[in-house]
Amino acid sequence: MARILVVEDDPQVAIPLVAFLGLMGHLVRQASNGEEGLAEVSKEYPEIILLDVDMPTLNGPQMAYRLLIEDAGREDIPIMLLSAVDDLGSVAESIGTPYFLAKPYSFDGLTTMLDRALRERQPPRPRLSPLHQKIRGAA
Amino acid sequence: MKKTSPVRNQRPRHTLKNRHRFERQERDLTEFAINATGLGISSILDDGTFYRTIEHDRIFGIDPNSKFDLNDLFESFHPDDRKGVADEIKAVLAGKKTGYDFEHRIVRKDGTIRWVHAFGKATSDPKLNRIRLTVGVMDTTDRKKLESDREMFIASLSHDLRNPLSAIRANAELLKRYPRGFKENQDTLGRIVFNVDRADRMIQNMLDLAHIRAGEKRNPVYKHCDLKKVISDSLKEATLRYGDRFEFISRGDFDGVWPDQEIQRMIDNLVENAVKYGCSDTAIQVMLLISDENEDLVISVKNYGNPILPKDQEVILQPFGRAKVGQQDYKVKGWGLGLAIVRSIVETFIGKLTLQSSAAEGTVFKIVIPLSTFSSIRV
Repeated sequence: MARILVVEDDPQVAIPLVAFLGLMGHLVRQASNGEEGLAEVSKEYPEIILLDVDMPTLNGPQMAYRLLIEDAGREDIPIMLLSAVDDLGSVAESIGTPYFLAKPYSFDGLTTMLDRALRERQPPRPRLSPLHQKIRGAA
Repeated sequence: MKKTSPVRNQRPRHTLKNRHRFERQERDLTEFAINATGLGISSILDDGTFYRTIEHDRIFGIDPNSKFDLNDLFESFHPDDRKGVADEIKAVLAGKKTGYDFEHRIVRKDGTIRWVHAFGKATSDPKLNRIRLTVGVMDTTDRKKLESDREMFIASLSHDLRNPLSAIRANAELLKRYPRGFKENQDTLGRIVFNVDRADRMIQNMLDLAHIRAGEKRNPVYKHCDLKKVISDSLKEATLRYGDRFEFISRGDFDGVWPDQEIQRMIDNLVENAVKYGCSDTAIQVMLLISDENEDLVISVKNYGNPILPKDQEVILQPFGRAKVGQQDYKVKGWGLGLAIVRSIVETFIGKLTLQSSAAEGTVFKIVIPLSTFSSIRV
C-alpha cells in the first residue's frame, strides 16, 4: 500500500484510475493540474506522483521543475508520467524519470510500472538551464 | 527584261532588325511563361556575375533594379541554412560538383522568412574555361505550412483520441476485474458510452474540417424543440466532463423550429474552448437571448483568464489557429478546429461570430444569427 498522488486534468481518465488504485489498496489523492498538484504535495508528501503531461494552468513537466526548485525534499518524490503525448520517452527524459506509460495503458502495465517505481524510488532529475544549474550550484 | 523567280517574290523579307525584334519577343514570351509557373531563374558565372529573372527577385523580395551579387545571395540565406547551401554553390562554381538541390529558408530584407526549393545545374565551356550555374528556385512556403499543419493535425488527433480511448479501456478493465454493485457498474458503463461519444465527436469535428476545406455547404436538420433545453442539456454534459462551473442565463421564449444539432455543436465547441483556455477556477457564462430589436438570435459564451491579443483574434478562428494563450501550454492541446467549425456553422445561417477579450471583462464569443434565417423553415 502506498500514498499516491494522481495529477490528471481529464476526469474521465482520472475516475477509473483513482478507483483502480484504491481497489488495489493504495491511498490515493487527486489533483486536476500542476498547480493543484503542488498544493496537494504541500499538504502531505506522497510516495509517488502519477503525472499527466498536457494540462492547463501548470503542466506536468512544469510541475516537476517546480518540485525540484522549491523546498528541499520534494525533488526526491518519484514521478511516473501517464500521458497521450507523442514521444513520451523524450518528455520523461527531459524531467529525468525512467517511469512513464503511454495512454491508453493496461492496468497490468500500470501495476508493473508502479511496482517497479515503488521498489526503486528513483527521484526525477529535470534537465536544468545553465542559469538554474548556477543557482543550484551556488546554493 | 529581267526575270524574277515567283518563289523568291513570295518569301517574307526579314531584315536583321526584324529578326532581332522577333527573337526578343520570343525571349520575353519564354520569360513570361517561366515567371507564370512561379519558377525564378538565376544564372551565376564563376567570376560572380549574376543574372536573374523578375520572378527570382519577387521570391527573394528584392528590387529588380538593385545590385545583387553572389554575396548578397549568401546573405539572404537563413543563418541556420547558410553555410550548407553556400558551400554547395561554391563547390559547383569551383567545378567540384555538377549541381545541387536544396530546400532551405531565406530571409527577405523586411525580415520575413520563406522556404524555397532551389536546384542548380552547372555547364562549362572548356575553351573559355568558364563555369555557369543555372538555378531554378520555387517558393515552397505555402506547401511547407500545409505539411506542418498536417503533421500537427495528426499529432493532435492521435493525442486527443487517446484520452477517450484511455478512459474506455480503464473503465472496461475495472468492470472486468472488479464487477461491483449494480450502481457502480452502471456508472462505469455510462463512462464508457460517454467516452465513445466523445471520440465520435472528435471524429465528427475532423470530418467537418474536411467539409470546410472542400468548401461544401452544410445541410442542417431542423426540428421542433426548446432551444433552452438543447443548451441546458449540452451544459449538463459539460458539467459531467469539466465540473460544476457553468452558468446559463436565457431571456425569452425559445420554443420553435431550430437546427438543434448545429446549435448544440456550437455550444459544445465554445464551452470546450472556454474550459481549455480560460481560468480554471471561475465560472463560464452561457447566454441565450433575442436581440432588443427582436431581429437576431444571440448566444454568447464568456470565460475569464488571460485575454486573447487583438492580433491573435482572427488567427484563432482559422482551422489549426491557436493564439498564445493556448500555446503557452507544454504541447498543443486540442486541434484548434473548434472555433473554425463554430464560425463555419454560424456562416451557414448567415450569422456572425465575434470575439471580445480583455483582462477585466474576460473573453466573450458571441454568435448573432438573424431570426429571418429560421423564419421560413417548416418541419
